[in-house]
Amino acid sequence: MSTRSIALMIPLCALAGLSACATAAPPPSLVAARAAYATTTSGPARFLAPVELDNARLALAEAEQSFLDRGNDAPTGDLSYIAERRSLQAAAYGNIAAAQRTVGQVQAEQAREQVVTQQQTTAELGQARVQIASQRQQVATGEVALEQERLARVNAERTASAALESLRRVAEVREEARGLVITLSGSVLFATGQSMLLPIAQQRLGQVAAMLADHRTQRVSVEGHTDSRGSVSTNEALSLARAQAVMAYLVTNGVAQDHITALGVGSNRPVADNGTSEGRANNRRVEIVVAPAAPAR
Amino acid sequence: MNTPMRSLSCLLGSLLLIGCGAATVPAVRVAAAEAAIRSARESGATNTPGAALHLHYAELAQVEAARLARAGDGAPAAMQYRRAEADANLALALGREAEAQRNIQGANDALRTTQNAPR
Repeated sequence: MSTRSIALMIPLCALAGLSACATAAPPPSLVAARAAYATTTSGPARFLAPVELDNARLALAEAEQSFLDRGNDAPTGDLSYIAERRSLQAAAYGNIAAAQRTVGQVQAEQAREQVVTQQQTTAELGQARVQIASQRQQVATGEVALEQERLARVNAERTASAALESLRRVAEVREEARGLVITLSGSVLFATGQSMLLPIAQQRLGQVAAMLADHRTQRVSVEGHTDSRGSVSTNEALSLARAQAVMAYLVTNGVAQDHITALGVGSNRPVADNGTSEGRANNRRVEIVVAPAAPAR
Repeated sequence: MNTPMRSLSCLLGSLLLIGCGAATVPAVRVAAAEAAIRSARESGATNTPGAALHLHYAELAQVEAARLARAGDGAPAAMQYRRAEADANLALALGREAEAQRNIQGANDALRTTQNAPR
Protein backbone atom coordinates (compact mmCIF):
# COMPACT_ATOMS: atom_id res chain seq x y z
CA MET A 1 0.00 0.00 0.00
CA SER A 2 1.45 3.40 -0.95
CA THR A 3 2.16 6.23 1.43
CA ARG A 4 -0.64 8.22 -0.15
CA SER A 5 -3.25 5.57 0.37
CA ILE A 6 -2.12 5.12 3.95
CA ALA A 7 -2.44 8.86 4.45
CA LEU A 8 -5.93 8.74 3.03
CA MET A 9 -7.00 5.84 5.20
CA ILE A 10 -5.63 7.16 8.51
CA PRO A 11 -8.31 9.78 9.15
CA LEU A 12 -10.99 7.40 7.97
CA CYS A 13 -9.85 4.65 10.35
CA ALA A 14 -9.35 7.11 13.19
CA LEU A 15 -12.80 8.54 12.76
CA ALA A 16 -14.30 5.11 12.37
CA GLY A 17 -12.57 4.07 15.59
CA LEU A 18 -13.84 7.10 17.39
CA SER A 19 -17.32 6.50 16.12
CA ALA A 20 -17.14 2.97 17.44
CA CYS A 21 -16.63 4.46 20.85
CA ALA A 22 -19.75 6.56 20.58
CA THR A 23 -22.78 5.36 22.34
CA ALA A 24 -25.18 5.65 19.40
CA ALA A 25 -24.89 3.63 16.20
CA PRO A 26 -23.91 5.76 13.16
CA PRO A 27 -26.81 6.89 11.04
CA PRO A 28 -27.30 5.19 7.66
CA SER A 29 -26.31 8.39 5.89
CA LEU A 30 -22.92 8.32 7.61
CA VAL A 31 -22.47 4.66 6.80
CA ALA A 32 -23.27 5.45 3.18
CA ALA A 33 -20.81 8.34 3.20
CA ARG A 34 -18.04 6.12 4.54
CA ALA A 35 -18.77 3.48 1.90
CA ALA A 36 -18.80 6.06 -0.86
CA TYR A 37 -15.46 7.45 0.29
CA ALA A 38 -13.92 3.99 0.52
CA THR A 39 -15.10 3.14 -2.98
CA THR A 40 -13.79 6.42 -4.36
CA THR A 41 -10.34 5.99 -2.85
CA SER A 42 -9.97 2.65 -4.65
CA GLY A 43 -10.94 4.12 -8.00
CA PRO A 44 -9.31 6.44 -10.54
CA ALA A 45 -9.94 9.50 -8.34
CA ARG A 46 -7.16 8.38 -6.05
CA PHE A 47 -4.59 9.41 -8.65
CA LEU A 48 -6.56 11.46 -11.14
CA ALA A 49 -8.73 13.70 -8.89
CA PRO A 50 -6.70 14.23 -5.71
CA VAL A 51 -8.15 17.68 -4.93
CA GLU A 52 -11.75 16.48 -5.14
CA LEU A 53 -10.88 13.40 -3.10
CA ASP A 54 -9.33 15.56 -0.42
CA ASN A 55 -12.48 17.66 -0.28
CA ALA A 56 -14.46 14.47 0.17
CA ARG A 57 -12.13 13.42 2.97
CA LEU A 58 -12.64 16.74 4.75
CA ALA A 59 -16.39 16.50 4.34
CA LEU A 60 -16.43 13.01 5.77
CA ALA A 61 -14.23 14.12 8.65
CA GLU A 62 -16.68 16.90 9.43
CA ALA A 63 -19.56 14.43 9.44
CA GLU A 64 -17.65 12.06 11.68
CA GLN A 65 -16.80 14.87 14.06
CA SER A 66 -20.43 15.92 14.18
CA PHE A 67 -21.42 12.38 14.98
CA LEU A 68 -18.83 12.27 17.76
CA ASP A 69 -19.89 15.63 19.14
CA ARG A 70 -23.64 15.44 18.83
CA GLY A 71 -24.51 11.91 17.95
CA ASN A 72 -27.17 10.96 15.47
CA ASP A 73 -28.85 14.32 15.04
CA ALA A 74 -30.04 16.22 11.96
CA PRO A 75 -26.81 18.14 11.28
CA THR A 76 -24.86 14.86 11.38
CA GLY A 77 -27.27 13.44 8.83
CA ASP A 78 -26.93 16.53 6.65
CA LEU A 79 -23.13 16.52 6.85
CA SER A 80 -23.07 12.80 6.05
CA TYR A 81 -25.31 13.45 3.07
CA ILE A 82 -22.95 16.19 1.90
CA ALA A 83 -19.90 13.97 2.47
CA GLU A 84 -21.39 11.19 0.38
CA ARG A 85 -22.07 13.67 -2.48
CA ARG A 86 -18.49 14.94 -2.26
CA SER A 87 -17.16 11.37 -2.57
CA LEU A 88 -19.44 10.65 -5.51
CA GLN A 89 -18.33 13.93 -7.07
CA ALA A 90 -14.66 13.00 -6.64
CA ALA A 91 -15.33 9.60 -8.17
CA ALA A 92 -17.00 11.27 -11.15
CA TYR A 93 -14.04 13.59 -11.71
CA GLY A 94 -11.71 10.61 -11.44
CA ASN A 95 -13.74 8.87 -14.13
CA ILE A 96 -13.71 12.03 -16.26
CA ALA A 97 -9.91 12.23 -16.08
CA ALA A 98 -9.63 8.53 -16.93
CA ALA A 99 -11.99 9.01 -19.85
CA GLN A 100 -9.97 11.96 -21.13
CA ARG A 101 -6.86 9.83 -20.94
CA THR A 102 -8.60 7.09 -22.90
CA VAL A 103 -9.78 9.58 -25.51
CA GLY A 104 -6.21 10.81 -25.87
CA GLN A 105 -4.96 7.27 -26.37
CA VAL A 106 -7.64 6.49 -28.94
CA GLN A 107 -6.95 9.73 -30.80
CA ALA A 108 -3.23 8.95 -30.78
CA GLU A 109 -4.00 5.53 -32.22
CA GLN A 110 -6.17 7.18 -34.85
CA ALA A 111 -3.37 9.60 -35.70
CA ARG A 112 -0.99 6.66 -36.11
CA GLU A 113 -3.50 4.94 -38.39
CA GLN A 114 -3.84 8.10 -40.43
CA VAL A 115 -0.06 8.36 -40.76
CA VAL A 116 0.12 4.75 -41.93
CA THR A 117 -2.72 5.37 -44.38
CA GLN A 118 -1.04 8.51 -45.63
CA GLN A 119 2.25 6.69 -46.07
CA GLN A 120 0.55 3.91 -48.00
CA THR A 121 -1.29 6.41 -50.15
CA THR A 122 1.95 8.27 -50.82
CA ALA A 123 3.69 5.02 -51.76
CA GLU A 124 0.84 4.03 -54.07
CA LEU A 125 0.88 7.47 -55.62
CA GLY A 126 4.62 7.15 -56.20
CA GLN A 127 4.15 3.77 -57.87
CA ALA A 128 1.38 5.17 -60.04
CA ARG A 129 3.62 8.04 -61.07
CA VAL A 130 6.39 5.62 -61.99
CA GLN A 131 3.96 3.57 -64.06
CA ILE A 132 2.64 6.67 -65.80
CA ALA A 133 6.19 7.80 -66.56
CA SER A 134 7.01 4.34 -67.91
CA GLN A 135 3.89 4.32 -70.07
CA ARG A 136 4.68 7.79 -71.36
CA GLN A 137 8.19 6.58 -72.21
CA GLN A 138 6.74 3.60 -74.06
CA VAL A 139 4.37 5.86 -75.96
CA ALA A 140 7.23 8.20 -76.84
CA THR A 141 9.37 5.25 -77.94
CA GLY A 142 6.49 3.94 -80.04
CA GLU A 143 6.00 7.33 -81.63
CA VAL A 144 9.69 7.50 -82.48
CA ALA A 145 9.54 4.03 -84.01
CA LEU A 146 6.45 4.96 -85.99
CA GLU A 147 8.13 8.10 -87.26
CA GLN A 148 11.25 6.16 -88.21
CA GLU A 149 9.11 3.60 -90.02
CA ARG A 150 7.23 6.36 -91.83
CA LEU A 151 10.48 8.00 -92.89
CA ALA A 152 11.86 4.66 -94.05
CA ARG A 153 8.72 4.07 -96.10
CA VAL A 154 8.93 7.53 -97.62
CA ASN A 155 12.59 6.99 -98.46
CA ALA A 156 11.84 3.59 -100.00
CA GLU A 157 9.04 5.03 -102.09
CA ARG A 158 11.29 7.90 -103.13
CA THR A 159 14.06 5.50 -104.06
CA ALA A 160 11.69 3.28 -106.02
CA SER A 161 10.20 6.26 -107.76
CA ALA A 162 13.67 7.56 -108.66
CA ALA A 163 14.71 4.13 -109.95
CA LEU A 164 11.59 3.87 -112.05
CA GLU A 165 12.09 7.37 -113.39
CA SER A 166 15.66 6.51 -114.26
CA LEU A 167 14.48 3.36 -115.97
CA ARG A 168 11.94 5.26 -118.01
CA ARG A 169 14.84 7.08 -119.66
CA VAL A 170 16.28 3.86 -121.11
CA ALA A 171 13.17 1.72 -121.55
CA GLU A 172 9.46 1.86 -122.03
CA VAL A 173 7.67 1.15 -118.76
CA ARG A 174 3.95 0.57 -118.48
CA GLU A 175 1.46 -1.02 -116.15
CA GLU A 176 -0.60 -3.92 -117.49
CA ALA A 177 -2.86 -6.50 -115.92
CA ARG A 178 -0.01 -9.02 -115.88
CA GLY A 179 2.21 -6.54 -114.02
CA LEU A 180 4.86 -3.92 -114.67
CA VAL A 181 6.17 -4.36 -118.23
CA ILE A 182 9.63 -3.03 -119.08
CA THR A 183 10.28 -3.09 -122.81
CA LEU A 184 13.81 -2.83 -124.19
CA SER A 185 14.38 -2.49 -127.90
CA GLY A 186 16.12 -5.53 -129.42
CA SER A 187 18.40 -3.34 -131.51
CA VAL A 188 19.79 -1.79 -128.38
CA LEU A 189 20.46 -5.13 -126.69
CA PHE A 190 21.67 -7.38 -129.50
CA ALA A 191 23.28 -7.32 -132.91
CA THR A 192 21.14 -8.65 -135.76
CA GLY A 193 20.64 -12.42 -135.46
CA GLN A 194 22.76 -12.60 -132.29
CA SER A 195 21.90 -13.40 -128.68
CA MET A 196 24.99 -11.92 -127.03
CA LEU A 197 24.37 -8.69 -125.10
CA LEU A 198 25.95 -5.56 -126.51
CA PRO A 199 28.09 -3.50 -124.07
CA ILE A 200 25.51 -0.69 -124.00
CA ALA A 201 22.80 -3.26 -123.20
CA GLN A 202 24.62 -4.22 -120.02
CA GLN A 203 24.46 -0.64 -118.80
CA ARG A 204 20.75 -0.45 -119.40
CA LEU A 205 20.07 -3.84 -117.93
CA GLY A 206 22.05 -2.73 -114.90
CA GLN A 207 19.47 -0.07 -114.29
CA VAL A 208 16.72 -2.67 -114.67
CA ALA A 209 18.48 -4.94 -112.17
CA ALA A 210 18.73 -2.03 -109.72
CA MET A 211 15.01 -1.40 -110.01
CA LEU A 212 14.20 -5.09 -109.58
CA ALA A 213 16.19 -5.12 -106.37
CA ASP A 214 13.23 -3.29 -104.82
CA HIS A 215 10.90 -6.09 -105.95
CA ARG A 216 12.73 -9.13 -104.64
CA THR A 217 9.61 -10.98 -103.64
CA GLN A 218 7.86 -10.64 -106.99
CA ARG A 219 8.17 -13.05 -109.88
CA VAL A 220 9.93 -11.79 -113.00
CA SER A 221 9.38 -13.13 -116.50
CA VAL A 222 11.79 -12.26 -119.37
CA GLU A 223 10.16 -12.57 -122.79
CA GLY A 224 12.07 -12.45 -126.06
CA HIS A 225 10.23 -11.19 -129.21
CA THR A 226 11.27 -11.06 -132.88
CA ASP A 227 9.83 -9.62 -136.07
CA SER A 228 8.24 -11.91 -138.63
CA ARG A 229 11.18 -12.23 -140.93
CA GLY A 230 12.84 -15.68 -141.02
CA SER A 231 11.41 -19.03 -140.03
CA VAL A 232 9.23 -19.49 -136.98
CA SER A 233 11.59 -22.01 -135.40
CA THR A 234 14.58 -19.76 -135.91
CA ASN A 235 12.74 -16.81 -134.45
CA GLU A 236 11.56 -18.82 -131.44
CA ALA A 237 15.05 -20.15 -130.75
CA LEU A 238 16.59 -16.68 -131.17
CA SER A 239 13.97 -15.06 -128.92
CA LEU A 240 14.51 -17.69 -126.22
CA ALA A 241 18.27 -17.33 -126.41
CA ARG A 242 18.00 -13.57 -126.05
CA ALA A 243 15.55 -13.91 -123.13
CA GLN A 244 17.95 -16.30 -121.39
CA ALA A 245 20.87 -13.92 -121.97
CA VAL A 246 18.94 -11.11 -120.31
CA MET A 247 17.85 -13.40 -117.48
CA ALA A 248 21.44 -14.50 -116.87
CA TYR A 249 22.61 -10.94 -116.67
CA LEU A 250 19.87 -10.01 -114.24
CA VAL A 251 20.61 -13.04 -112.02
CA THR A 252 24.25 -12.09 -112.04
CA ASN A 253 23.21 -8.62 -110.88
CA GLY A 254 21.09 -9.60 -107.91
CA VAL A 255 17.76 -10.93 -109.12
CA ALA A 256 16.85 -14.18 -107.35
CA GLN A 257 17.22 -17.14 -109.69
CA ASP A 258 14.18 -18.90 -108.38
CA HIS A 259 12.04 -15.84 -109.02
CA ILE A 260 12.87 -15.33 -112.69
CA THR A 261 12.05 -17.26 -115.89
CA ALA A 262 12.89 -16.83 -119.59
CA LEU A 263 10.45 -17.32 -122.44
CA GLY A 264 10.94 -17.23 -126.23
CA VAL A 265 7.81 -15.87 -127.88
CA GLY A 266 9.20 -15.48 -131.37
CA SER A 267 7.06 -13.36 -133.69
CA ASN A 268 3.78 -14.49 -132.19
CA ARG A 269 2.93 -11.27 -130.32
CA PRO A 270 3.84 -8.31 -132.50
CA VAL A 271 3.18 -4.83 -131.21
CA ALA A 272 3.61 -3.09 -134.58
CA ASP A 273 3.26 -3.70 -138.32
CA ASN A 274 5.88 -6.12 -139.60
CA GLY A 275 5.38 -4.63 -143.08
CA THR A 276 7.46 -1.58 -142.26
CA SER A 277 11.00 -1.33 -141.03
CA GLU A 278 9.92 0.83 -138.09
CA GLY A 279 7.25 -1.67 -137.10
CA ARG A 280 9.68 -4.57 -137.30
CA ALA A 281 12.13 -2.63 -135.16
CA ASN A 282 9.46 -2.20 -132.51
CA ASN A 283 8.58 -5.89 -132.65
CA ARG A 284 12.19 -6.89 -132.02
CA ARG A 285 12.21 -6.44 -128.27
CA VAL A 286 12.66 -7.96 -124.85
CA GLU A 287 9.89 -7.52 -122.29
CA ILE A 288 10.65 -7.91 -118.60
CA VAL A 289 7.40 -8.50 -116.75
CA VAL A 290 7.32 -7.94 -113.00
CA ALA A 291 4.26 -9.72 -111.63
CA PRO A 292 2.06 -7.77 -109.23
CA ALA A 293 3.00 -8.06 -105.57
CA ALA A 294 0.93 -10.45 -103.50
CA PRO A 295 -1.54 -8.54 -101.32
CA ALA A 296 -0.28 -7.98 -97.80
CA ARG A 297 -1.92 -10.16 -95.17
CA MET B 1 -43.14 29.72 -12.38
CA ASN B 2 -40.19 28.47 -14.40
CA THR B 3 -37.01 27.22 -12.82
CA PRO B 4 -34.78 30.31 -13.27
CA MET B 5 -37.49 32.59 -11.91
CA ARG B 6 -38.07 30.27 -9.00
CA SER B 7 -34.37 30.20 -8.21
CA LEU B 8 -34.13 33.93 -8.49
CA SER B 9 -37.07 34.46 -6.17
CA CYS B 10 -35.54 32.01 -3.67
CA LEU B 11 -32.26 33.89 -3.80
CA LEU B 12 -33.89 37.27 -3.42
CA GLY B 13 -36.08 35.99 -0.62
CA SER B 14 -33.08 34.53 1.16
CA LEU B 15 -31.08 37.72 0.76
CA LEU B 16 -34.02 39.76 1.97
CA LEU B 17 -34.34 37.65 5.10
CA ILE B 18 -30.64 37.84 5.70
CA GLY B 19 -30.75 41.58 5.21
CA CYS B 20 -33.59 41.91 7.69
CA GLY B 21 -31.71 39.87 10.26
CA ALA B 22 -34.52 37.32 10.45
CA ALA B 23 -31.97 34.50 9.97
CA THR B 24 -28.21 34.13 10.08
CA VAL B 25 -27.57 32.43 6.77
CA PRO B 26 -24.23 33.65 5.42
CA ALA B 27 -24.70 35.32 2.07
CA VAL B 28 -21.75 33.42 0.65
CA ARG B 29 -23.51 30.14 1.44
CA VAL B 30 -26.59 31.21 -0.49
CA ALA B 31 -24.56 32.51 -3.40
CA ALA B 32 -22.47 29.34 -3.57
CA ALA B 33 -25.57 27.15 -3.76
CA GLU B 34 -27.14 29.35 -6.41
CA ALA B 35 -23.94 29.41 -8.49
CA ALA B 36 -23.57 25.64 -8.30
CA ILE B 37 -27.16 25.09 -9.41
CA ARG B 38 -26.78 27.55 -12.27
CA SER B 39 -23.54 25.89 -13.43
CA ALA B 40 -25.14 22.47 -13.35
CA ARG B 41 -28.09 23.69 -15.40
CA GLU B 42 -25.94 25.50 -17.96
CA SER B 43 -23.68 22.48 -18.40
CA GLY B 44 -26.65 20.45 -19.58
CA ALA B 45 -27.03 18.32 -16.46
CA THR B 46 -30.73 18.00 -17.21
CA ASN B 47 -29.85 15.88 -20.26
CA THR B 48 -28.29 13.14 -18.12
CA PRO B 49 -30.72 11.19 -15.91
CA GLY B 50 -28.42 10.81 -12.87
CA ALA B 51 -27.29 14.43 -13.07
CA ALA B 52 -30.85 15.67 -13.54
CA LEU B 53 -31.94 13.80 -10.38
CA HIS B 54 -29.27 15.45 -8.25
CA LEU B 55 -30.03 18.81 -9.78
CA HIS B 56 -33.62 18.25 -8.76
CA TYR B 57 -32.49 17.42 -5.21
CA ALA B 58 -30.43 20.61 -5.17
CA GLU B 59 -33.40 22.70 -6.22
CA LEU B 60 -35.61 21.10 -3.57
CA ALA B 61 -32.98 21.77 -0.93
CA GLN B 62 -32.68 25.34 -2.09
CA VAL B 63 -36.44 25.85 -1.75
CA GLU B 64 -36.41 24.27 1.69
CA ALA B 65 -33.47 26.44 2.71
CA ALA B 66 -35.34 29.57 1.68
CA ARG B 67 -38.39 28.42 3.63
CA LEU B 68 -36.32 27.77 6.73
CA ALA B 69 -34.62 31.12 6.39
CA ARG B 70 -37.94 32.85 6.16
CA ALA B 71 -39.01 30.98 9.31
CA GLY B 72 -35.96 32.26 11.09
CA ASP B 73 -34.17 28.89 11.28
CA GLY B 74 -30.80 30.16 10.22
CA ALA B 75 -28.62 27.11 10.96
CA PRO B 76 -30.91 24.53 9.29
CA ALA B 77 -31.29 26.90 6.34
CA ALA B 78 -27.55 27.19 5.96
CA MET B 79 -27.27 23.39 6.08
CA GLN B 80 -29.91 23.05 3.37
CA TYR B 81 -27.93 25.46 1.21
CA ARG B 82 -24.86 23.29 1.74
CA ARG B 83 -26.86 20.23 0.69
CA ALA B 84 -28.12 22.12 -2.38
CA GLU B 85 -24.58 23.07 -3.30
CA ALA B 86 -23.32 19.50 -2.82
CA ASP B 87 -26.08 18.03 -4.98
CA ALA B 88 -25.61 20.70 -7.68
CA ASN B 89 -21.87 20.07 -7.82
CA LEU B 90 -22.49 16.35 -8.04
CA ALA B 91 -24.99 16.95 -10.87
CA LEU B 92 -22.39 19.00 -12.72
CA ALA B 93 -19.77 16.25 -12.26
CA LEU B 94 -22.14 13.50 -13.40
CA GLY B 95 -23.09 15.51 -16.48
CA ARG B 96 -19.45 15.97 -17.40
CA GLU B 97 -18.74 12.30 -16.73
CA ALA B 98 -21.50 11.32 -19.17
CA GLU B 99 -20.07 13.70 -21.73
CA ALA B 100 -16.60 12.17 -21.25
CA GLN B 101 -18.05 8.71 -21.89
CA ARG B 102 -19.68 10.00 -25.07
CA ASN B 103 -16.31 11.42 -26.10
CA ILE B 104 -14.76 7.96 -25.71
CA GLN B 105 -17.49 6.52 -27.89
CA GLY B 106 -16.93 9.24 -30.48
CA ALA B 107 -13.17 8.70 -30.50
CA ASN B 108 -13.64 4.94 -30.90
CA ASP B 109 -16.08 5.50 -33.76
CA ALA B 110 -13.60 7.84 -35.47
CA LEU B 111 -10.82 5.29 -35.02
CA ARG B 112 -12.95 2.53 -36.54
CA THR B 113 -13.84 4.80 -39.44
CA THR B 114 -10.16 5.44 -40.05
CA GLN B 115 -9.29 1.75 -39.76
CA ASN B 116 -12.10 0.74 -42.11
CA ALA B 117 -11.41 3.46 -44.68
CA PRO B 118 -10.40 2.05 -48.07
CA ARG B 119 -6.64 2.10 -48.60
